[in-house]
Amino acid sequence: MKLSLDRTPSCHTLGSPEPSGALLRVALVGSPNVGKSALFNRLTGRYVTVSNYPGTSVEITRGTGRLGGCHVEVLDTPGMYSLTSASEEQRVVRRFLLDGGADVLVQVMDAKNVSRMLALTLQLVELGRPLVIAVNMMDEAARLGIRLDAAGLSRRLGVAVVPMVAVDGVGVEELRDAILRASREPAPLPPIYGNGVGSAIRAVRAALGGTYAVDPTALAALLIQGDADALTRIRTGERDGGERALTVSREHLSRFAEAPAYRVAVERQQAASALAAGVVTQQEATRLDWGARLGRLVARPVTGVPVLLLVVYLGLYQFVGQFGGGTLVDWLEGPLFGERINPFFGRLFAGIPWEAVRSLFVGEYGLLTLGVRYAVAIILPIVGTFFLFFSLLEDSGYFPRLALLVDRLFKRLGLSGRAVIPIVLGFACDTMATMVTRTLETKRERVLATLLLALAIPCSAQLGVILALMAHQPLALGIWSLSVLGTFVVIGALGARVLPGEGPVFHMELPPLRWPRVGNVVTKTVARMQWYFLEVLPLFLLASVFLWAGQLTGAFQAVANGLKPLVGALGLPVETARIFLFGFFRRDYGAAGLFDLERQGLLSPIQLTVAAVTLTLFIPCIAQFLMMLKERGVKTALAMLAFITPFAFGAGYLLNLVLRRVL
Amino acid sequence: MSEGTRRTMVCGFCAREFVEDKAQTACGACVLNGGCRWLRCPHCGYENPEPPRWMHNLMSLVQPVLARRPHG
Repeated sequence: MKLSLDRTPSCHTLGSPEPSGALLRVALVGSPNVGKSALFNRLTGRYVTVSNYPGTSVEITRGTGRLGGCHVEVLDTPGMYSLTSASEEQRVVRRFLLDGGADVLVQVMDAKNVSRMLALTLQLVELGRPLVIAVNMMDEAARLGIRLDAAGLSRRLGVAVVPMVAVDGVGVEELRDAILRASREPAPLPPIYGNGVGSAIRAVRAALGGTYAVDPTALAALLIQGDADALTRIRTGERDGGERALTVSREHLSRFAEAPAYRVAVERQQAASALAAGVVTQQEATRLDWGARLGRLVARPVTGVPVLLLVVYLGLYQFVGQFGGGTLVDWLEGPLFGERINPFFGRLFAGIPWEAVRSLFVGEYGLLTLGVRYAVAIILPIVGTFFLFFSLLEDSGYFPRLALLVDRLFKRLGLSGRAVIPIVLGFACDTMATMVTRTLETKRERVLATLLLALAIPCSAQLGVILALMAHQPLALGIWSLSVLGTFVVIGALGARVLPGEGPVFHMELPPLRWPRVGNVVTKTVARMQWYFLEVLPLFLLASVFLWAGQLTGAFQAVANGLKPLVGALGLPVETARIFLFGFFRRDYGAAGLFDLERQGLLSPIQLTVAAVTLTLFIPCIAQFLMMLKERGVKTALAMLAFITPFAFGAGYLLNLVLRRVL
Repeated sequence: MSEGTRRTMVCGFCAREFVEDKAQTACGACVLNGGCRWLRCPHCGYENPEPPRWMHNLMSLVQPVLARRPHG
């Protein structure tokens, strides 16, 4: 990215609002997390250009838009607290500002913390560049009882102050107008400092005769704070190498009792606080808004656990299990596939004289009658409802609170609340979640999370199918839930004791709880469904081909026969052997097979419970196992496999014994 | 100097904004890098589904209508 000063005149300098084709350059600056990027999107669009600042690895995001008749380039700079900050990102922004890299500066500030942010404002004012203050998050400030006299602040600073809510687009048009107006004249410099610092800055400023991209006052203020970059600029910019300015600076600094940088910072903050005191009023918050109240309720154990159970009951059991797995699957399986699509395919392929070829498409394991039917009629409505429910929770801001809620429990399992991210994602896809475990802090946490994902976290389709299967058998569902949850807790706690290492620490800034937005929820649901369908359909078809080939060659029957003693020991009918074979290809394929079997009336409630528990705990699908190999290494992944397989069948065996005695 | 056009998005978990490019940097170690339909948030590591382009185009038509409705 080229950031030089010798540019073609921008339309504001031409004094005409007509389109000139020249670029007005607007830079958004401000502290981190004040909504700069949200405002950036409003001023430009979703498509942006990202480039490194010359000579650094710091990224500057830029986009283009129009203000009035002007083309503008908008730059979203990394967050900064002060012009004297030390990090590389903040030094880059400071360099950019001192180079006069923007025609107009827009300082974005958080309306909830105006006093803290005005200190940077005063430094920006010193630059003498056109400046506009965008006070963002006015809605959140209002809910906290904070009121801002924007007109008063504007009068005191001599620059436009625009209250706004960037995410909703409130105030964006006013900001556009203010930017255009500001581009015509630089901000005036109000008195900021007391006599000591103020006179030092004025004296050094008077000693500077060079030409600079910004008002020399900013350089003078930085120089007396001992800023090396300002010193270099002054040495380069002055004919005498800055000697006169340095002498004046030393004279004044010798009169300071404290370190000059500290003194300047204190006086600047005092000026900022005085400014804020005149324009910000804090009213007694008479009541917390619904978001804050609900946010507290869902994160506290006493109220959060019942809320979690309610969410699971309404969202997973009623919506995904009953509606998705019941109503929708019934319709797709029966009237659509059973009565129309499958008979149509049957007639279509009836002309093929070779049974082996015909059965590849429309046989017991046919591509169309099994692969497509499983993917479209059973899995798709279930994952569709699951992803809709998941996206609703995600967009509401519930997941970070869930992380906070389970943090204490997770610590006992050697995990932290941060592990909620892979665990929650595991309910969508365990393979992806296994990859995400690499974001956990310690190796111990990564190994434990990988093991628990492989063992006790069913993926979206598997969970949905099981919920659909058991929606009408609450006792079976309760036993399945307790078995899987119990495994998660017991194995996690044991694993935490066996594996050496420090317990992780979890800190997270909670975003506000909010109403899910229809557009976001629809987009995320459709994106997930598209991802799932594009991934699942080819694999389902491939699995059908394998099963067809296995049946044709007799290999499938031989493996199924080999598994018969095992399924017999679990008290399951011989037909379930193929379910475990299905499950090896994909968890959801196995679950869909179980669904099929139950619909044929081949499973008693006890058998259904035992099969569902065993299948959930059973070996992860091929994709997940490959990801385990990649993420945790061959030795660890094989060790997990060696543990999980006998554990799953052992748990199924024990459960069968217990249930047959008790029920 | 690397340069490219990318979309920005808001993370579904931590609600912070990031540019796709940064997500890809965070995904650098993955064999599917650039080939999957997920964007990892560089701030918290959460995997966000990448909105299909056709969906984005459709929503850009619908969203102005939805945005006029009151919400909390």
